[in-house]
Amino acid sequence: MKIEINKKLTAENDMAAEDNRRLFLEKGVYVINLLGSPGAGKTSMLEALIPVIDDLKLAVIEGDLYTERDAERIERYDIPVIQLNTGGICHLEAAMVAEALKELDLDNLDVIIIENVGNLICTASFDLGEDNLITVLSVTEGTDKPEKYPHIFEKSDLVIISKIDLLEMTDFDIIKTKQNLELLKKDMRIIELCSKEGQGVEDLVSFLKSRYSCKQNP
Amino acid sequence: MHEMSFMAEAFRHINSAAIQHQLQYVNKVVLVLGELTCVDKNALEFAYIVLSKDSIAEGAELVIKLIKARAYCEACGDLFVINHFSRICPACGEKDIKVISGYELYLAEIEGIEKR
Repeated sequence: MKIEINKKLTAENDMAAEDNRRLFLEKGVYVINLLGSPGAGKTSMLEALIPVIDDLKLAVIEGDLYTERDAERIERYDIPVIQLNTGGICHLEAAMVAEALKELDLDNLDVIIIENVGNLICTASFDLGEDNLITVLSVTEGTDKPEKYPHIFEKSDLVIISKIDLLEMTDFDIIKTKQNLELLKKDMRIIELCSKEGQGVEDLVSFLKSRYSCKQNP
Repeated sequence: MHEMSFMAEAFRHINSAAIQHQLQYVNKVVLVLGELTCVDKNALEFAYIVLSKDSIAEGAELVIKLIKARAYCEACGDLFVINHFSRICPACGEKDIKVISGYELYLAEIEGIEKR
C-alpha cells in the first residue's frame, strides 16, 4: 500500500525555532544569527561592536565545534556570553540555542547575537528563531564567494565586507562583489567594515538600533 | 553532514507511519529534494543506507525526486528556470522575482506491505 506523508525533514528544527522566536518576541529581544567562513572576522567584529553599543543591553551566544576561544574573547567585555559546543556538528540548531537561552536573563536584554559555527554552507539552512541573518565576508576570501555559496548570501539581511583595510593588498573586486550580491537579493544591505580601525562599525550599530526599535514598535 | 540528521527525521516519520498503518515492512521511500537546499543527494543516499539497516525499511528502494529551481517574474509574468546563482528575470531583466520551487526537502510517501 502507498502512504502519503508529505512531511518536511526540517520540521523538528523549524518547530524549535518557532518556540525561540515566540520567546524573543514576548521578551522584546532582537536576535541576529551571525554567519561567515572561519576567520572571516566575526568575533573581531563583535569585539569592535560591543564597546560602542552600550545603550543596548547585548548578550552573545558563541557557537563552536569544540573550543571556548571565542567566548573567552567576548567575556573580557563584561557582557553575558554563552558558549555552545556542537561537538563536531557544522552548524547550530534551534534546540541548542534554546538550551543556551535558559542561562540568559532575557528580561534584561535588548539584543542577542548568535555567532554561528564558521561555515558558509549549511548554517543558513537551520533557522534558529532569529530576526535577521548577517553574513561576514572578508576581502581575503575572494570575490567569488557569493557565486560559490549563493544560499547563505541570498538569505542574509546584511552582508559585512570585512578586513576592508586589506583591500589594496588583495585582488578582491568590491564592485563586482556588490553587483553579485545584488543579483542574489534585490536591495541587499552591505556594510564595508574594518574591525581594527573601526570603519563601518557605526553603520552596523545604526542597523542594529533601527532593527531593534522596529521590533519594539512594529 | 547535515544530511544524516535530515534522514534521521525521515526515519522518524517512516517508523510512525509504519506503526499507524500496521506495516510489516516498507519497500519504497520517496523523498523530494529541491536544488536550492544545499542538501547533497549522494550524502542523503549514504545516510539512508546507514539508517535503513535493521529498520522496517531495510532493503527498501529509495527514490529521490529532484526539483528544479523555478521562479516567477513579478514584473513581466515570465516563468523560468533559474540557475544556482542569478536571480534576474531572463525575459525583462527585472530583479523582482519570486522563487516558486527549489527549496523542497520532504518525505513524500512510502510504500509497504501490511501485516496479515
